[in-house]
Amino acid sequence: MRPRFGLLAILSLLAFLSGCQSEYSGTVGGASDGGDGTLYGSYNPEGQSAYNQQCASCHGVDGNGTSVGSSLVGCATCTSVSVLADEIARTMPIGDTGRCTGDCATDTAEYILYAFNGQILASATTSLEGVTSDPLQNTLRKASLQLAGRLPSSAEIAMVADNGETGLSLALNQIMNEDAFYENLMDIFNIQLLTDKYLSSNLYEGGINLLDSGDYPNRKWYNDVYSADDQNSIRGCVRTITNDAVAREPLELVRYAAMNQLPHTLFMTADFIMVNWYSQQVYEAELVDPSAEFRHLEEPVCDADGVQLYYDPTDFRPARINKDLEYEMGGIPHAGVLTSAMFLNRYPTTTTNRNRHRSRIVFDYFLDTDILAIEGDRPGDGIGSEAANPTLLDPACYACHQVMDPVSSAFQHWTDRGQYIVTGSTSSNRWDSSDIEPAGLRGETIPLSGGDGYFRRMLQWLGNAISEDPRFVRATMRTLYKGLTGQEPLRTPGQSASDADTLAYNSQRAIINSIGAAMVADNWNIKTGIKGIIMSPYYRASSLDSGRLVSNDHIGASRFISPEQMQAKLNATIGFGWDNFRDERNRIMYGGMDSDSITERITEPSGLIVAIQSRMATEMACRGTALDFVSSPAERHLFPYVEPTTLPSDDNAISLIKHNIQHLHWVLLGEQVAIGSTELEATYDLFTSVLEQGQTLLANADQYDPRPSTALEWECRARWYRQEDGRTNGDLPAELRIENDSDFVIRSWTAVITYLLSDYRFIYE
Amino acid sequence: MKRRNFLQLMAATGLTAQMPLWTPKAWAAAPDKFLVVVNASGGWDPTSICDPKGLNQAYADKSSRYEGSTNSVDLDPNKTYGNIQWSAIPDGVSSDETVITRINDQFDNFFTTYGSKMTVINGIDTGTNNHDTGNRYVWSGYEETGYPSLAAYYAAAVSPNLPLAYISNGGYDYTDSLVARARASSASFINEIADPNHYSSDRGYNYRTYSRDIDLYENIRAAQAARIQRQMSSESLPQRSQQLSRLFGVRSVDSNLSELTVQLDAIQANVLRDDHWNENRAESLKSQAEVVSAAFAAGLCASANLNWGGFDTHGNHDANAYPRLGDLLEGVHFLMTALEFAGIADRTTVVIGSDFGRTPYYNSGNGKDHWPITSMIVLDPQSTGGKVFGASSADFRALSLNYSTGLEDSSGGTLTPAHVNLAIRKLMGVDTSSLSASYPLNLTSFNIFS
Repeated sequence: MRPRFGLLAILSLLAFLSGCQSEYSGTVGGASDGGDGTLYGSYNPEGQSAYNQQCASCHGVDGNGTSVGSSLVGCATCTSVSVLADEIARTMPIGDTGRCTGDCATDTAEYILYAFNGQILASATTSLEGVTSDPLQNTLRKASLQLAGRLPSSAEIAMVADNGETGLSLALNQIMNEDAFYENLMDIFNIQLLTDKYLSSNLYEGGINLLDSGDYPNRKWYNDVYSADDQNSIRGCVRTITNDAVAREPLELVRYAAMNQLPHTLFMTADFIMVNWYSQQVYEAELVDPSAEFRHLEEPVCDADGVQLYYDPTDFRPARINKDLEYEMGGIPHAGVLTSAMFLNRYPTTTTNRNRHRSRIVFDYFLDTDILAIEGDRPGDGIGSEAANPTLLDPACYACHQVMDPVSSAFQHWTDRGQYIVTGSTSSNRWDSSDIEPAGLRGETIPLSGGDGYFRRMLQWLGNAISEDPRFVRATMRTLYKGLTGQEPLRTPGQSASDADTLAYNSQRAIINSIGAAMVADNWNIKTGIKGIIMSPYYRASSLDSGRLVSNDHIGASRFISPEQMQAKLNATIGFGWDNFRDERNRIMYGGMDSDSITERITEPSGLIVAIQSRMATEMACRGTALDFVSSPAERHLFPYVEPTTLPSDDNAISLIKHNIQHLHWVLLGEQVAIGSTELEATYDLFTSVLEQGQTLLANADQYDPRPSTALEWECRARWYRQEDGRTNGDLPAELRIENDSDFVIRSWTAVITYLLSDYRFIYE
Repeated sequence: MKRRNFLQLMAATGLTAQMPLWTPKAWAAAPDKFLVVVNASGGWDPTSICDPKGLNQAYADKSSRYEGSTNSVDLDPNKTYGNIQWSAIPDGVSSDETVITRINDQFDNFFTTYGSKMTVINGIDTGTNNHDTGNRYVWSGYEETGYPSLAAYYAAAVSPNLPLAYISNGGYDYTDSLVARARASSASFINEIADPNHYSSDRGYNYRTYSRDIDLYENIRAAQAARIQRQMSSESLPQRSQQLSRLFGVRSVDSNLSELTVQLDAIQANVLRDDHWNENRAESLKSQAEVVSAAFAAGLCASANLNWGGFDTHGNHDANAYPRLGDLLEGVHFLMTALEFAGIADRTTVVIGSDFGRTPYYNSGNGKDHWPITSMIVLDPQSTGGKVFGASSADFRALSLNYSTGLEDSSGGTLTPAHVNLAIRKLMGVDTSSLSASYPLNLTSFNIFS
C-alpha cells in the first residue's frame, strides 16, 4: 500500500464539494468549433431538384425516410458519389428504374451525400437541450478512473477548479500520457479486433504459430538460443513475452501513434509493424530507425537458468520486414493492421469465400458500413438465380457485391493464413479475376500496372483510401464511443422511426461527427477524439428533462465495470486490489472476457455477479479499514478526519465523522453529499447503529456465541502491507499494527465501507 | 427475500413499471431434462477423434507431411463401438510413452464407456472457417447474428425463470435477452461467494452469532436496500434507472447459492477429480462440470455451456490437439460421473462440438488450419447408442446425405449445423416451443436421432 491521496488533495476536494455546474461548450480543440460540412462535397442544385421530384415522396424531404422509404442518413450505400449514383441508376425510383441515370443519378447522389450526410450533421448543435451535465470535477474523476485507473491528483483537481473546461482539458492531456491510458486504449481496440485471442494466456504460442515457418524460420528463436535441457525456465519466459509481442502487434500500432502524436491513420497506412526486442527476432525485421536501441530495464525481465534479460517488453518500435520470404522477394508491403498476420488470421478466408469476410470486416470496423444492410436479396439456400455469375450479373446480388468485392480483391495476395503470396498464373496462390470486381474502393479501381502500379501492394492503396475516407472518421469514433460509454452509437433510424428517435439519431450523429472533425483537424490525434467524447453530454449527463428530450435511452454513460476496471478502482480508492481477481476464471465469472472463447463482457449482473460484488465488498472493507488508519491522516485514502477513537460523543466529533462520510461518498462513489443530506445521514445512521449494537455486544460478551471480542478478526487486522493485486506484502512493524478495536469504531467503519463498496455507483461508473 | 415480498415492495415503491422483462419471477420447477453443450473452442479436428481417415494420402499434392495424409496415424480396427470409429493416437504426440498411453486410455475409455448412449454426427458442413461465424452457426443453427445459443434457447423454452437458468463458461452464449446468463466456472469461488459475510469456522467478517439471531451484516443489507430504492426514485436517466432496477431485482431474489454449495460439497466429496481418470488433468473443465451438475441438482439451472480451449492448432497439431482432446473426453466423463452421482444423468443430454474442423493435411509447421467440415457427438440417455449419422468423403469434404439414413445419397442434402440444431431441439422436446416462431429453422429434417 502506498499513500496516494495527500492533504492538499483533500482540501481541494472539500472546496469542490460545494459543487459547480458547467455546460459543455462543444469545444474539444482542433476544428470542433466550426465544421464547414465539407466532408461530403458541395451543394448540387440539380441534384436537389431531382431529389425533390423523384425521391422525396418516399425518402422524405429531409432524407429521414417515410413509411414507404428508408432513411438516407448514413445509408449503407451512402459511401461515395459513384457507389450511390450506381445504386440509384440501377434501382431507383422503384417501379421506374432507368428514369434517373447518368448525370441525374450523379447529381442526386451528390445532393443526398451533401444534404443528409454532411452539411446538416456538421452544422448541427453540439449540445443537447434538456440534458444537465455532471459537474466538471465529477467528469474528471470518472475519466481519470476509466482512462488511467486512478483518482485525479490534487493539482488536476485544482486545475479544473481554476480553469473550468480548459482545466479539464489540460488535466485530460496529462491523464492521457500515462502508461495505464495506453493500455486502456489498446483494450478499447481489442474489444473490436479481438486479437488478444492469440496471447499466451489463451493459447500456447498462439500468435507465433500463425506465422508461416517458411517465411519466418526464426519464429521460435528462443528454442534455438536456449535449447539446453536445463534452460526450460528461461525458454518459457522468453517464449511467453515473444508470443505476446507478436499477438499484440496490431494494437501496439494504436499505442505508437497515440504516444508519439502521430495520426491514427497509421492504423491503416503504416508501412511498418511494431516489434519489441523479442519479436524483432521472430520477423528478422529491420528497425525503421536503424540507430534506435531497445530500452533496458534495471531489473531483469527474465531471470532463470543463469540467464538475465533486461529488454523492456513494452518498448515497441517501428520495423519493416524486408527480408526475402518463402515465396516473395523483398519482404512485405506493410499496410497497418490490414497486413497484420494477427488481423488476417482472426478474420480468415477460404478459396470460395474469396476474402469477402475480410471485406465485410473492413467495411464494418474501418468504414462504418454494414454490408449486410445493403438492400438486395441474399438467397437463403445460397444458390440464387440462374445467372452464370450472379455476384456480377444478378442485380439482387450485385447491389451488395459491387461494394464488397473490390475490397475483397484487394486482399488477394494474402492467403487464408495471412501469408503474403502474390497471385499469378504460376503462383501457388491463384486468383480468378474474371468473376469478381477488380480491387478498389468507392468505385475507384486500384491502378495496378506501370512503375507506380500497386499490383503487389494493393492493401497499401486500400489503406490510404480508407484513411482518406470520411467513413474512417465515423468508424474510429464509433470504436472510441463504444469503448468509452459501453454503448454502440444509435443505429440509422428505420422507416417507422418516430420523430423523437430521428432527432436523437441526428443529434448524436452531429455531435460525434463534430468530435471526429476535431480529431481529424488535430492531425488525426486520437486523444482529441477521446477527449471530445468525455466532454460530450453523452458521457457527462447527470439528469435530463424527458419532456424536452423524448428519445433519451442512450444518454448518460454508465457501465458495469469490468473486473480489470474494478481492480484498478480498488487500487485507486483503497490502495490495493482484491486478490480473487488474480484468477482469470474469477474475472470471467465477474463478466470478464478472454478474447478467445469469451469475446463479450457481461453487462447485466446475474445472481452470481451480485454475490461476487457482495463478497468483494465485505472482504475489501475488512482488509482495508484498519489498514487505512495505520497511515497519517493526510496520507489516508479513506479516513482523513477521524481516528479509531473518534466516537460520536460531541458535536465536534459528530462533525468530523460526517465530514469523513462526505469524503467517503466522494472518493468511493464520486458523489457529492451535503452535510444534512438524506444520503449522508443514511450512512451516518448505519455507522451509529452498528456502533451501538457492537458496543452492546462487547458489554455483554458472555451472552453471545462466538464471544464478541475487542480484537479484530484476524483477516481484518492491520498486520500486513498489501500489494496491488491484493496479496499481503510483508509484515507491518509491530508498532504500526492495529489489531484491537475496543470501542467497535473500526468495525462500524468496516460496515460503512462494505455498504459503499457494494453500491451501484461503485460497481457502475 | 421471497418473490411475493419482492413484488409488494416494488409495487409499494412504484417501481414495477421499471422492472425489465427478464426480472426474476417466481421460481419455476426444475425442468424434466437438462442440456449441456461442451464447446471445444478454436476449431477441433474431427479426423483426430470421431471421423478418422488414417494415412490416406488424400492431399499428396498439398502437403509433404505424412505423404499428404489426413492423419499421421492409421485407422485401428479395434477402436470401434457399434458403427463408431475413433482415432488412434499417433506416436508423434509425445516422446513420453506414458503420455501416449494416457491419451489412448482417455479415448478408449470414453468411447467404450459412453458408446451405448452416443450418436456421432459426421460430415457437418459449417460453410465457414471463421471462428465467430462457426461458433455461432454450430451452437445456434443460424449463420447470421441474432439467434440464441442452443442451450439458451432450451433454458428459455423450459425454465426461463430459474435463478441460474443458463450457465455459460464461454463459447457462443448469446441469449437475445430471453434468459439470464451466468458464468460459473470455478467451484471453489462459488463456495467462497455463497455467503458474503462468511469468515473461518462460520464466523462473520461482520459479527454474527452462530445462531444468526444477531447479525450485523443485516444492518448493511437493510441500508443497501433502502439506498437503492432512493436511487431508483431519484434517477432521471433511463439507462441508469434500468440498471438500478436490474440490480435491485437481482439482489432482492435469493439466488440460493447456499443450496448450490450444498450440492457442490456433496459432489466434491464423492466424485473426486483425480479419480476420474487422471490426476491434475482437465481441471478447469472438471470444475465447470462440478458447478453445472450441482446447479442442476439444486434445481437452479436448466442448461449450460462448458468450454475447453486450445484447439486452434495451427502449429504442431498432434502434440497440441490430441492431449487437449483426451482431456476434453476426460472432462466430459467427469461430468457424466457427477451427473450420475447427483441422480440426473438419465435426464441430461450432452452435446460436444466445435467452431469447425481442421485441414485434412498438415501445414509447414506441422499444424492444421481451418476447415469447414466438422462433427458433433451427442450423449443422450434415451437414444440408441453406437450410432454414426452422416459422413464426410475420404478427402474430408461434405457429401450429399440421405435424410433418413445419413448415408451418401446424391438425391439427399448437405448436413449443416442448422439441421443438427433442429434435430437436437426435437430431441429435447422444444422444437415446437413458442420460441420457434421467433427463431425458426425451416429445413428438411435429417432423422438423426431416430
